[in-house]
Order: sequence, then C-alpha cells, then structure tokens
Amino acid sequence: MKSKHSHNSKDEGFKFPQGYFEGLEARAKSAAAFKEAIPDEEGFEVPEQYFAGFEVHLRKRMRGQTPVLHFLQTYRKYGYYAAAAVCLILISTLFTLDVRSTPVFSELKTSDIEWLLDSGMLEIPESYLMENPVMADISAINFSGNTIEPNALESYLLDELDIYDLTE
Amino acid sequence: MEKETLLKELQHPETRERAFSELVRDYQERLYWHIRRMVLNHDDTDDVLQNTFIKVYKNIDTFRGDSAVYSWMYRIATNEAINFLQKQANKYRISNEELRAQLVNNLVSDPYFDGDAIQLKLQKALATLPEKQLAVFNMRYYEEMKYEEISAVTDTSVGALKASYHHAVKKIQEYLKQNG
Repeated sequence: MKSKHSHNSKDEGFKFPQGYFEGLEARAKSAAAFKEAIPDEEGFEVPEQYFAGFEVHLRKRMRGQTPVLHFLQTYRKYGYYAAAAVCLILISTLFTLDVRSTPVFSELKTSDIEWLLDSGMLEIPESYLMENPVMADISAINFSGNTIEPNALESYLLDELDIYDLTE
Repeated sequence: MEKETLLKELQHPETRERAFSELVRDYQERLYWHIRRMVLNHDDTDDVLQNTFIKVYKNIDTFRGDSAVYSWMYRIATNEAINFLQKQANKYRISNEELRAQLVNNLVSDPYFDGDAIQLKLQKALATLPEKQLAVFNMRYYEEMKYEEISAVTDTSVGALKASYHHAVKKIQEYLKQNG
C-alpha cells in the first residue's frame, strides 16, 4: 500500500517522507548543537587491569555459588514433597482445631492460675472480679502473719453467710 | 565465531565453558559501559556486570535464540541495572529520582570519576531521565546502536524508541540551557 506521506522522486522509485527537506536544515542544526553541548569524554575511569582480571573474578564468584545451586537442584524435588507435607499438616490441623477449646479464665485450675500469675503471664480480668465478689472481698480481710483477726473473720461471716446456712 | 555456532556451543555441556569465556571476553567491555552509564559507580557496575553474566550462564539452556545472544545479554544487563537502582532506592527509602541525584553527587568524591564541571553537569542532566529512557538514550547516543537493535533489546517498537530518544534529547538540552 502506498503511503500518503511518501513522494516519488522522478522515475527511480525512491521515496521520502513528506516535508523531509523543509525540516532538514533545522534538524541538522539541532543535532549539531546537541553534539556540541555534550562533552566527548564522560569522565568515568576503570581500575587498571580491571577487564583483564574480570573473568577470573567472575569465575571465582560462580564457583562460590555452584555447590549451593547443585545442592538445591538435587534436593529440589524433595523440597517440594516436604513443602507439600507441611501444607497438608497445617491444613489438617486447622480443620481439626476445636475453636471451642479456647481456655476460659473461670475454667482454669487454681494451680494453673497461680502459676500463670507468678510467671507474670496472666492478669485477672476486672469483669471476673466483679462477677466473683467473694474473691474481691478477701482483700478486705486483714491477714496479720498466718492468723486471721477474730473480728475480721466474724464480720466476714456475718456479711457473706446466709443465716439459714447456719440453722440448717 | 558465528552467532549460531556460539549459541550451540554455549548450550552444549562439553563446549559451554570455552564458549562462555569467549562471550565474556567479547562483551564484558560493552556491557560494562552500558551498565556504568546507568549506575555510575564502578563497584556497583562490577557487581551488576557479574550478576548479568551469571544470569546468562544459568539461563543459556532456556534461551531459545529468538533474538541475537548479544541483544539478550543487553536486555539482562539493562534489567539488572534498573533492578539494582530500584533496590537501592527502596533500601534508602527514597524515590528513584532522588537516588540518581545522590549517585551524581557522589561522583565528586569518586576515585574513578575524573570529570570536569561540564561532564558533571551532563550527568546531572542525564539523571533527570527515567531509567528506561536513559537506557535508550545511552544505547543510541553513546553506543551508536541502530533503533532496530535497541528494539530487540527493549522489546519496544522503533517508533516508540525514536519518540523516547527525541524526548530525552529535548530534556537534556533544556536542563543544560537552564543550568548553563
């Protein structure tokens, strides 16, 4: 297909883009000005004998990498099997995991709570204390040494125990 | 060595080492300067050049020979240089433009840069170009590659490359004019 922008030069069959000669001088001047503005030398230098020793350095680095690569290539298929096995175990663990088995504070054994408190791994939630006033009231009792003050014990019993518990 | 023969020898285990040595000898300087004009520092260039040849060696079996070996190597070198600059920018948490400006500033104290004020100004002008445009400019202006060859390296149409080069020239001219 003939291009609209192409023109025939007499009979030789050669073509050139439309407007080529009109803009030729301006383009040539612009290119010349650009070449003049750009310095011939770039200022970069290379250490002496760099290219002469390049292959030696390259081979040294490649040798350093090769054993690891061979090892990885040899055991690659085993790696895939191992990765697949780990994935299967993880997936089966996720499916068999009983989310209801998440420990609830009130269901923990006293010994476990004590151990956790001692280890600094547990803070008793405030809501738990609010729901269990007996535990909160213990702090009101004045323990001196290993004995309980008789007055404190009496007022605790009077406050907390139902009279019917005693009469029955 | 003929291009086809070279590729065959590179892909054959018995002749690979010798052919690879020849490849390194033939192309190390050309690729060095191609990379150096992008990353500017000699040590970084050395690192990127070695990575380029290692990639060539490792992947020679998968190279199908759709393009010339040298176009393929140029493509790897260009990508390695661009990736290196990107990684450096990420490492220092700065933009690519900031990194390139920083690299030019480092040239002042670089023992392997002996440029004068004009050459330094040119580097500053080149630093304003995006990496891919810079690569095209370098291949065309400094390495005097044909657009068809650059097209094989960058996998970009000749028309787009011409526009990119023209745009780069305008940008450099403008920078030099403003900072002249």
